[in-house]
Amino acid sequence: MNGSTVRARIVLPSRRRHAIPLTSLVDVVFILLFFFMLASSYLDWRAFPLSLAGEGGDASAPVGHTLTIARDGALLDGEIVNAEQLGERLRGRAAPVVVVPEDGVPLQSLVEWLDRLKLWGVNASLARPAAS
Amino acid sequence: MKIVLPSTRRAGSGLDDERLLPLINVVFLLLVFFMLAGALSSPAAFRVDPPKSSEAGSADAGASALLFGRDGKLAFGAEVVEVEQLQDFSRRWRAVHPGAALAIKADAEADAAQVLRLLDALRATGIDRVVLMTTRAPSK
Repeated sequence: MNGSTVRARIVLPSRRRHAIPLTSLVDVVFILLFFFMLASSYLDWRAFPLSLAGEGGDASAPVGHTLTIARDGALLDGEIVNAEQLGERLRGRAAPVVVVPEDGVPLQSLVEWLDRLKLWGVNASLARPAAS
Repeated sequence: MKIVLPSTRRAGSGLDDERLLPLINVVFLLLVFFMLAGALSSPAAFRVDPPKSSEAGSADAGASALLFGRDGKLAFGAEVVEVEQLQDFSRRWRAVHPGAALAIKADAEADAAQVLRLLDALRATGIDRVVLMTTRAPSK
């Protein structure tokens, strides 16, 4: 050491601004975006539990009412009823209702009647029509 | 005569990358939104228009379901199931999902009596808990 100061100079390597090239990143992200937009389904699925009548043997459960769904209306125990009459008769009753759709009735109308029964608090179960 | 062309900006220069940042932010936000909002589903054998219901409860949209087409065709995911194969299908399904309810995606225009016959046949093979998948209808 001869009294002179030693100066060390540290040269930092110049940092690159972006390690990933942003243009190609955008390309990939766009492709992912289109994939998820096209491959996903945005339907709001709901579940409606279906119960068939006669779960514990056919004769054991007492049947309260039978609601037959026809293509142009409904019959409660063989008598033509509309939605209001059905509501008056069944609302709050404990008696179970067996819903039987006739052949050729679309599923949508069965679901609509089941919706009404559920709204009225009716204990509904399903049965298929006798083979014609 | 001297024609001065506008200097083309070099792609990938630092200035260009800076200008891409807001775009990337927005695209990333959209990507995250679509990933979270949509449900990825496996391809189905045929198209099913579900019935609308106002009273049905919430359901897991990603779960695979037994499809019931407008003309009475059956499929599980992309695989078509014949009525004769129902016993075999039921045994395999119950082995994978013991005690679970089988989801049925049936077409709104399908014959309701045929759907109930299917339920009857499923019960005969040992599947007695079935839920019908619907979409939400505007409640009255």
